[in-house]
Amino acid sequence: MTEFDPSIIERSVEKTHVWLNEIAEELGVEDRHYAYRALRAVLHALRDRLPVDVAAKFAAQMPTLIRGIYYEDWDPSRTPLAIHDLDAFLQRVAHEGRMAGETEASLAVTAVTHTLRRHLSGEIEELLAVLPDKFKALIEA
Amino acid sequence: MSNKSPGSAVTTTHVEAIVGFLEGAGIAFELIEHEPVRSATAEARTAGRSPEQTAKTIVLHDGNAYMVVAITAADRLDLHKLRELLGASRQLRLASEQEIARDFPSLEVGAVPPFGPMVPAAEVIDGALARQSHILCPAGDHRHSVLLDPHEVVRITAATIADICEE
Repeated sequence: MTEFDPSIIERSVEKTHVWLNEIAEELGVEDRHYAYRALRAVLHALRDRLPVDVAAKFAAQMPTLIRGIYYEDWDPSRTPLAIHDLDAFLQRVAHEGRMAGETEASLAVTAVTHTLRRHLSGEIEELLAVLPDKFKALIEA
Repeated sequence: MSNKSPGSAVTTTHVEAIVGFLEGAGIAFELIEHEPVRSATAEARTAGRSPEQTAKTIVLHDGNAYMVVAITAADRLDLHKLRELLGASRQLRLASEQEIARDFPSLEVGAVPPFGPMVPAAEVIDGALARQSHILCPAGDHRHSVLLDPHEVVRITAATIADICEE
């Protein structure tokens, strides 16, 4: 049995701070709670739109703590949700992230996906392959 | 939906202020009353206009002051392009609903026009919006819009026309 290395927890916390700082900087805010809400809302909206196998593979490369955020409240028996319309996707992000509307949600999606690209580049391409074209323009922005 | 000619009786004071502002600037426009809407897309739909012909006004804050930009309801703002265009700091961000409600109390949140006496004039208007023959703009509340020539909006705001939306 592999011995558990507690330092993995510290490293995961550090990486999570890096992600949150990058998201906050891209959104022009200093509020890390807001960055966390944006990250959580976008990850959950993406997760619930993906087929279960793709959703699980997408999570595999995430830092441990962010993977925990990603899987929070996941019910794979209810996914993938049949959201084909970008507006509906953004409304879902806005609702979970307690955002004013789709403009705020679209900026959150862009900031989070830029961060995902910087840290999980290969995984994003697989994710794009299964999403509707309308979603790709936003994620690739 | 009903159309009202400029200067007809309107009970909402913020709408009156915008009407007065446009009349004072000598701009031809049509005031449109419609059912309450909560987004630019819904405003387009209820007023029988396309999202491309409907302005979405976005209020931002750069750390010191508010700034307003306008894009079409069909497009999405690219914050990176806007920062590059303005040479703005990384602090440029979307203003929150709470800030807008606090600092622009005469306007309903989500119905800010890109011009008028109560808000900073739009600094940037996206090219896709400026190319329309007429555009529908929020008139300060969720039940009124004004239809006017985007060149007139550019004229009264002295806005820069630029591509500030996602591809």
